[in-house]
Amino acid sequence: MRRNALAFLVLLAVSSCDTCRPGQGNFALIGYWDFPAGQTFTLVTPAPGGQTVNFIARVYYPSYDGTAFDDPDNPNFAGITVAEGQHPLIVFGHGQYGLGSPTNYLGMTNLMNHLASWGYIAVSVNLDVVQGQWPSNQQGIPHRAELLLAAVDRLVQLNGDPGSIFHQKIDPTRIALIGHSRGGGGAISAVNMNQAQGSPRAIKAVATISPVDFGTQAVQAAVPHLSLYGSWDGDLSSGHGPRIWDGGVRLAPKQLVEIYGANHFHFTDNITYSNETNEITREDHHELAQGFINAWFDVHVRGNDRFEWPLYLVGEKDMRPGVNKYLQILSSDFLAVDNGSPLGTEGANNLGGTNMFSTLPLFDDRLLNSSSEHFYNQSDGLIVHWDGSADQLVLGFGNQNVSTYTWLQFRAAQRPANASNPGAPENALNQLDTFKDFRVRIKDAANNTVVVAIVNYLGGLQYPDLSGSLSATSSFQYKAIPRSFRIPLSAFAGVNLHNIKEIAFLFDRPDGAGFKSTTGAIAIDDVEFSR
Amino acid sequence: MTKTMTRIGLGLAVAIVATVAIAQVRQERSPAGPGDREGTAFRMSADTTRQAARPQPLRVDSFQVQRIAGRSDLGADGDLLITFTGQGFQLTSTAPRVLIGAGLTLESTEVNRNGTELYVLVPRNMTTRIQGARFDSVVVANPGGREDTEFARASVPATAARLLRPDPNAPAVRVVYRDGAFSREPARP
Repeated sequence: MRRNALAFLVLLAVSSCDTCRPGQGNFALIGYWDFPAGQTFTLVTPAPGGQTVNFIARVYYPSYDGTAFDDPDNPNFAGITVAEGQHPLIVFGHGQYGLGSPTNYLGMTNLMNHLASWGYIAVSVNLDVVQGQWPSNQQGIPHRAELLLAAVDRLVQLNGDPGSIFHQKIDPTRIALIGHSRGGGGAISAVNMNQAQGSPRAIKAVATISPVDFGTQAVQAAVPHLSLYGSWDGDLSSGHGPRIWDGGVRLAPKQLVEIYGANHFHFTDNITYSNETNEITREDHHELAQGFINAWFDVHVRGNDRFEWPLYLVGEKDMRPGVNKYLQILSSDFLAVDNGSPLGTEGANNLGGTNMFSTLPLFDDRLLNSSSEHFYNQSDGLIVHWDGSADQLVLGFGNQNVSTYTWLQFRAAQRPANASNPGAPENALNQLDTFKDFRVRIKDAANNTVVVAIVNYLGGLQYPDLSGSLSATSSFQYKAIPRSFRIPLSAFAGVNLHNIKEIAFLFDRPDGAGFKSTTGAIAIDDVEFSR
Repeated sequence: MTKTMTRIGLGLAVAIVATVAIAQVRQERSPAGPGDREGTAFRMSADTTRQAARPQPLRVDSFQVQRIAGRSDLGADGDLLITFTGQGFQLTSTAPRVLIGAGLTLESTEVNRNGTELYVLVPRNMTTRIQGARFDSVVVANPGGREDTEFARASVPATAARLLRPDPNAPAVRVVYRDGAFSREPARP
């Protein structure tokens, strides 16, 4: 009786509530469907190919099937009717833990259910069929990519099969990939593999959670890439995720979320790895992954701009209050002022102008990828040290019309103390667990200037986190992972944005509670105007 | 009769109004953040996940050195294979390593199905360096950055000569990958 009443209420609410429909809201039953046992897939990699593995996958999907409540023999809603409409398709690749099979691919139900509740058809593929290191083949990452793409192909095939519950229920023009750990490497590899095949699958976005970097090429396609990485990651503690994310091309938006206190395995439903610990709860991990990925796909797969989710995405609304998280946001539509390249030209910027830095104790351009210097990027950047209130870095250039851009932005990181070099200047210039503030000034051709303080844009520049998942002396402690500062150009009212000739960083802020700003050692990268 | 009809009519009207009101309330409900489920009405299947196996503390009981022969999924014909036997060998995004010291680390490894055997390949280009190193123990380290848990590391007495000398009674072997796991098999004659 209660089941019937509940089913009635569900159907009543659904039938009378447009904003609750899966395509627009978050109201649905979640059903699941398993690929029939016995399906196989023949891998192309490693050459010459021909290795056949089992194809195992579970599909999570939205439903309005009220009869689901009436069947006591089907408590998990297996095979119930798929909700009307054509739903975007998401394929997920899990990480490797223990001997896995079959639990690993069923271990991200929290994320699969969440996305299904928002109207996606989400598939989790068993990648443990290629378990093992396979050191000569990028440790099995291309194999995983093949399986993820095979899942896309098979679901699209079912979409055209009148005998399938997914017949005409999938939108094959809106496809996304997600991967965690090894599955993350697989998802990145799948994006590139799809491109190499001529992009037969309409992959609109990819999201990765602490992906591996076993020599896999970073994203090379115009596919928006969101990546999440926990500062307490005790498994891929050597910074694979930030590195492979940073190495991707900028043909589409890309964003990295560094979550302080998050580890590697708490994003899963229930894996706890003994060799790492966590500062934030598993629920924190889940909600942050669910929220960022859902919002990323809503914007980049569905093309929506709703519910203020884009504001959550860029940190202007808080996805999970109480958890420190820092975002790198890179647009594909930008005017580079100085990105550190080419190396050895720190005196010049990308606009052909001159950089003035004579007051600074150190200004240099470097490839920011050396873990011994606490850097985990793949790109060049600028090292900036200051020790006096008159210190400044001035990027001069010929007049630029930036009036059509939205932001002046850059990314920056504090340099943590260098334990292996007690005399390193950054040891004295920065102070543990304090923020930096400094100011940014732009000047127009008529010498009008406006100055803003970075502290007003989502706070100052944080000190890298101490990971509880690593030994105190680990060389991977205190990763200098940058965060972005995006200052709206509207904040510079008073200068003529049609004729900008200079950007200056002024290191003239006083120390204060929680701030050590009078001296500093930071890396700055990708100073640019963006949309 | 008329009264009854009126009551039914009124009842229906109230029900309709109530339904519309519910719909209005739901329509006005502003969706929470994209990661937030609070207040949502969706129903998901009961728990379909399975509990991950609890890891066991890392322990090494013994090790055996064998020569690889024939087609192997780890190493090649003529390579040396060290098999550590014990419990708690853990596979994550990476695999256990063997730390020899002086910067020498054996990283080409695989784990058997239940984590009781660790297969370690000795690359040919490392044998000379191992021979030249002085040590009396090696450390088997599970993946991860911590060194202070019972799951992380185990020290094993071993010298260079011992690591590089195949056990006289141990047959040649190959490592095979089958049904989602690695195992050792005697080399085919």
